[in-house]
Amino acid sequence: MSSILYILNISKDPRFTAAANLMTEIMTVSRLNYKPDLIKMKNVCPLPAIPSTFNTSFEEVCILRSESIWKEKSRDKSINIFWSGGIDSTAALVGLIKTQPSKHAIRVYCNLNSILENNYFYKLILKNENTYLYNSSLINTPEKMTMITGELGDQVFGSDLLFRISSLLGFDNLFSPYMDVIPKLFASKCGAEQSDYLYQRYEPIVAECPFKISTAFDFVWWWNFTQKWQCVKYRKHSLVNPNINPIHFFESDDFQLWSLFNHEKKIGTKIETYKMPAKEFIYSFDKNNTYMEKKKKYGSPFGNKRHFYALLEDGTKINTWSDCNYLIEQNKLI
Amino acid sequence: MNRVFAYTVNSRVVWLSDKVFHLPVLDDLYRLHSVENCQDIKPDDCVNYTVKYFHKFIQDELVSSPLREEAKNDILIIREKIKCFTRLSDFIQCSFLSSMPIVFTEENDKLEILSKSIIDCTDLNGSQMAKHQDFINSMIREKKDELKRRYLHTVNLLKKAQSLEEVKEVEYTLIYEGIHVI
Repeated sequence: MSSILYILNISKDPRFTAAANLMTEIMTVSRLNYKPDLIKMKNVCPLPAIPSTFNTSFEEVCILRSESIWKEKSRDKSINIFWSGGIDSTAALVGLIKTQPSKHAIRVYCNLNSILENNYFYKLILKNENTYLYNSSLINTPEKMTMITGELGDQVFGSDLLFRISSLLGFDNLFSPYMDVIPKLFASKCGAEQSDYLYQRYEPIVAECPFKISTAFDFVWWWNFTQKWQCVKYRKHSLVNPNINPIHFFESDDFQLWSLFNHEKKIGTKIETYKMPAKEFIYSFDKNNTYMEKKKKYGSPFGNKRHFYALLEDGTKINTWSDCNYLIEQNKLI
Repeated sequence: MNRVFAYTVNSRVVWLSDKVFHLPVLDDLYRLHSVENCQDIKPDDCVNYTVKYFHKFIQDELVSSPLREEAKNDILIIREKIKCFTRLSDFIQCSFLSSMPIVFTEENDKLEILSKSIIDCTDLNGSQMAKHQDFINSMIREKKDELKRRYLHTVNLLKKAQSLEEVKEVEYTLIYEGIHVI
């Protein structure tokens, strides 16, 4: 509530306020031909070219991505990674450990929350040779530093909105027709009046999906995959130490193609089976049944912090919602 | 012991507990510091004077002492500052007087205990155990140092703030980001 009041305070445009509430303060940038963006922005993350088939398994994609990262960092003989204890960053860490060349180091940046979220895996880190622990909360490096993250995992697998749908309307409604569920979801986040406007604005994105978008889950995934990817990709730039150069583990054409060709594997039959391919990949290393069967997503790595990134067509970077005041004053909303 | 707040704005002393008072002791203060006007008195001198002679003040008189017109805007600023200080006290229990030591709340101790108890260390060997303890201890130490730094930084921002806008800016940061160290 306080966050909403803050946004209301800085933004006088009701559409903007509604969008902020709906998207938890992430601004969408369309990767499609259809552009429902509220601010005219450049798409710098186009969708990959889609082949007729894609048979690589999730595990194979993780290993290929890890090998490619190690190859890229071969001169340093070490890799830094943000590990939250959640599914995405743990899968990334498993990939890197499985492909870790001898005498190469993994520096794991985590904090007490990471240990609380996955203390079983924390002990495996303690036991793994050439793996070192650092405090992720207080990185203050004056030098450039590359950091692997688990970002974009949500975009590959679905959306945190599925948890809201599940708690608001029941899990089964994730598989109900999207046109019945999504307006209710939007209304729950930004009120009936603005939700109608935003639904009409975003609904046409379904036309460009390579397969038919039918259910609420289909919609929230496709929305996340095509509209929020760019903001999520860049948000760390504006939040963490500017000297940190993030490499998002899930930012590869193969992960995106896996997502497009394996839609049915992303959620399964209950909340606990969401992201199951990633959980199975983790299990192949840690053999932790509890994590695989019970683990649920907890939330954004940034807690209650605002995160925002936009690149305007003229190259202007917008990093905060308050920066948007300028756009509103300049009448640049579209 | 009840907490009391003393704060100065533009070298005027205002005593605050649960109410805002104008402190009618400037003449004494001028004499003490041999100054001609209030601009020559350092804010810390005002606070120190207030604390030192607080027991001599008769609070009823303070309450009845009328606020001067020019002090009213200061009072608005002070009210906002007090809201910020109260929020800060959610993070660290401390005196708001800079001369007092900062006392961390139990929360940190709980975290320390928690972090040491959530790991079943029975199957860790000596070097793994050392790796674990080094990490936990360094995190807690860094967390305390950083929390103290952020607290002092925020106090400093509040002390320097001369307008409502500046105070509001600090307040937004406290409300939406806090000074937490995860």
